[in-house]
Amino acid sequence: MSASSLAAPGEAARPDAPWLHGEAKREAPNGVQDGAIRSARFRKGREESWRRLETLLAKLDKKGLKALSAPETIELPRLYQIAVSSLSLARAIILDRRLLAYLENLCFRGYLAVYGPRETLAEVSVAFATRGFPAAVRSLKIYILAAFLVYAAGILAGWLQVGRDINHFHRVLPPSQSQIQVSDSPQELLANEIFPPFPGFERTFVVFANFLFRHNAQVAFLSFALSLALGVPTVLIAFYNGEVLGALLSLHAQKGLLLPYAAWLSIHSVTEILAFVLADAAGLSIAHKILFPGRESRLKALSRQGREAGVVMLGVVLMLFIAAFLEGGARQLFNHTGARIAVALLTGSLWLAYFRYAGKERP
Amino acid sequence: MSATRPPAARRATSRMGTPNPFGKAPKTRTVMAPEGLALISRIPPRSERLAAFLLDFFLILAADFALLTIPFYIGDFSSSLQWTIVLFLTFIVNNAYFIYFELSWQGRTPGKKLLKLRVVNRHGGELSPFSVVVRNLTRQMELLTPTLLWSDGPDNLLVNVALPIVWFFGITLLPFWNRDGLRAGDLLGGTLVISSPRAELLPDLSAPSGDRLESARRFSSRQLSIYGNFELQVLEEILRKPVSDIPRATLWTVARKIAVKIDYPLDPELTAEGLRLFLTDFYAALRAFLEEGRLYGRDKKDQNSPPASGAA
Repeated sequence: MSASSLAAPGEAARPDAPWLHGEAKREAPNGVQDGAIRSARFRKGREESWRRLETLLAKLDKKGLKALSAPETIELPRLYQIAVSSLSLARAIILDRRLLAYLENLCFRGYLAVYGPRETLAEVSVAFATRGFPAAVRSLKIYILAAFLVYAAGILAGWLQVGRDINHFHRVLPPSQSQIQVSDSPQELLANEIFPPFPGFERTFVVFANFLFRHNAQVAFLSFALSLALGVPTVLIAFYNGEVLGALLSLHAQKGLLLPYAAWLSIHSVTEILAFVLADAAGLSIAHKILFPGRESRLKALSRQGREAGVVMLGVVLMLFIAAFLEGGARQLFNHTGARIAVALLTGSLWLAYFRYAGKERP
Repeated sequence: MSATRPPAARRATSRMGTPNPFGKAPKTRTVMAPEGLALISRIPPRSERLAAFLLDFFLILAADFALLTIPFYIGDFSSSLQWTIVLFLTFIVNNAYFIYFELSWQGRTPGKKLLKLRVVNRHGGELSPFSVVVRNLTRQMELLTPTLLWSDGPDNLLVNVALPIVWFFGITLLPFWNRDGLRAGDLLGGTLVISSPRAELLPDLSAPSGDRLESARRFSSRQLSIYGNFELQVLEEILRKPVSDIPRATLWTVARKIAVKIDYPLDPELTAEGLRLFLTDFYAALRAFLEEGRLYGRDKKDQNSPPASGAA
């Protein structure tokens, strides 16, 4: 940056600046001096730095942040500040419409460049995985507890209903949507559902996992999105999902298959249900802020909570991705109750440790 | 909230806070820069937002189409493995497109860049990458939830029929129900889409060329205290128009009106060039006079306002 462009704003602040002492220079008519009126001189002194800022902004616009050299990245915010101080002076005094429009525009573009997003997708991903996601989950503690309780109530309701009469099973899960029937014998269930032959890597880890992922991600999104309806549908969906789970558990328990079925289920469900609970919790937090924004304005409370909830939802999608691999592939691969329980315990404790400790600031 | 609406009285005025004599004023909103200066941004019309979105949508569709058809030509596409990989790739493209571009192109996607739109932080300050992620994850929900619910069939009148309709009008069309054109994603992400076309720095009309220095007309304080900022800027717009666009007759009308009002003996024989010089001289003198008044806190908005300077 040249010395003159740096001097421009300082000139205005100096006690002998013509700007501040116009009255003393009465000799020229109407503030005209050296053949130029005051605001023309104001422009002359700063124009170079504006043009320079414009050049840098154009470069940035075209090729991105990496196009700027190291000195230029230091120069940019300084030039921006010069432009901002020019604008605030110009707004107070200058009547040249186009000059004002130019400065307004230049400052806004400078503002966007200086305060635009700096991170690349890769940096954001790392920050998300190591800090953003676990921290956002921790901030939803109370909502997670609430969503978990709703789930638990659903499971209990399903379990009790089917426990009283096994034929109630299809009241919870209509035959059209259920792969198993009340009339299935324990042997059939074991052979077809819990320990089917491994259909091959491709069909499990890729095709089935992909289907499950897209399906579950949609369910989680829906549950979250419905939070905008004040959370009532979110709670209902969570309760119903729990009810189905409870009904299935009860059905298998009555056929003497509780442990192998629970193992078959938990290998992926630890991750999947946790993801659903997080999605519901995120939705409930939004609903809470819509109903009770607290001290902030409703919009501001919503956008702050929305960002947290959005971070959680992104994590939920990734968790469902992992769950889909476990459900579509690992469950078929580990054809053994003990191995399945081991995987479930392992994933469960990994998630807990991750949410509890990852990205926590050390005191 | 640091981003504030201009009060109702200012809505009809231009970006400088002075009356805009030239057509409808654009909708604006101020965004507070951390330097403590309220920057004025233009809210784009909804049609520009829609056009940008459709452009991006078209690009995504084209990418999906390429992903789904090209494998047919380069090999055996019967295997479900390949099919699944392709489906997964389209899933990535559909979801990452907006996030990737808004992060790496400073709040712009190809569609937004073409229409000169940008995503900014509504509350001022840096645009957080998580805001970008949130506003774009929500986009899918805004658009797809009604179709997903609807396509499940009319089993449940409440969930499959009523909810999609309410959703469509309440959430999908949300930008039409608020002044700033905010989507649900903008509400959750704390963002705002603004229009940032580039303005050129035009030459200063008051700066005369060298040989005009001596011969520039002088006006008395009394002559200069008649008009205000509004008239000055109307005159500026006239003088900024290309020379060929303004015939002598127009220049004469304007110059004579001024001359009569300020009681200046204007030579009726002046050529177009001469009239232009007179108007330029008057513009420079009036601007210097009014700006000096503003410097001392005496602002004269238009000719009907009280005098700007004690001299009058």
